[in-house]
Amino acid sequence: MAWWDDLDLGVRVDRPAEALAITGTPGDPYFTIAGGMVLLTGLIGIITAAPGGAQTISFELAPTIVAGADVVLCTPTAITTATLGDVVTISGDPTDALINGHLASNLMMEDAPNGVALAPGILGLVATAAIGTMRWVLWYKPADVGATVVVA
Amino acid sequence: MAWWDELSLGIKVTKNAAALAIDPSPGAPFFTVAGGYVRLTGLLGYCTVAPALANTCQFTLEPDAVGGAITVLSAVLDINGQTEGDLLTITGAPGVAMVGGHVARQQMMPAAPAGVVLGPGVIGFIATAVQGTYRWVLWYKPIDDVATVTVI
Repeated sequence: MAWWDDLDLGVRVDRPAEALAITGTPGDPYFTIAGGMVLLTGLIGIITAAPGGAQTISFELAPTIVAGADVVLCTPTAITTATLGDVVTISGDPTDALINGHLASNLMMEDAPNGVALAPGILGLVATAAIGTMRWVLWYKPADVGATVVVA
Repeated sequence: MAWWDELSLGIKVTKNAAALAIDPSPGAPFFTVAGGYVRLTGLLGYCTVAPALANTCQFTLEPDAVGGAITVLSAVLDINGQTEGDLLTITGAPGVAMVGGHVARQQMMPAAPAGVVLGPGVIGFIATAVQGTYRWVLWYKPIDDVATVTVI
């Protein structure tokens, strides 16, 4: 880990725009955490094509450890009214819904300003409909030397 | 203290995995705060061997100062139910229980985003049973120029 990986929100990982797919728990694999624990410091999604209908999404972590339990990073929320350019994000509190609405601005990790610690695993996006297209930006800081997050 | 010690969560200190032992207050010595005051900015445990039975745990600080009172960094938590890969942490509020559960995701110090001030002393870990093995990652920032936290 370079010292600059600890600056600001840490290392940024971009996932290009793609259509949302119907995927149940633990979700469509979006990001892979490997090599140790990380601190998730930001996670935003940007609408590139409006859903135009009922669509509910949420994020989950499926740990690499076999005995690990799938855990949610947020509760599901409807993004039905979101349109091109709108932003969704998480508060950091797993009991809060994914934050969205017809909004092009949102607070970043308001309930976890120092991040959310995550063990190795797969961050997945749960979606209830095959409508809408989004791109994603994730920020993290390694908690263990050698820990990384990459697009799945 | 170097300027980069103030970046992000500050200086990281790791404690290798070790089996928990029965230790009443002020607990098994885990980390030493020396040379002055620090801000504790993160404290994260990673379960490497699951506790199989009840084990009620808590972090404390035993000050070096003669006449200093042992203080708690969290309220008690029974860590039974955690398995390999699960995470354990504190909120930063001393009246709130350690945060555990069968989860590989935890908010980092949501109640104390600027940290918890600690005077020189020993950070101890209370456990009521010989159950579970954990490794630990602690982050801190010196308040006094020569203050340090080291693993015991």
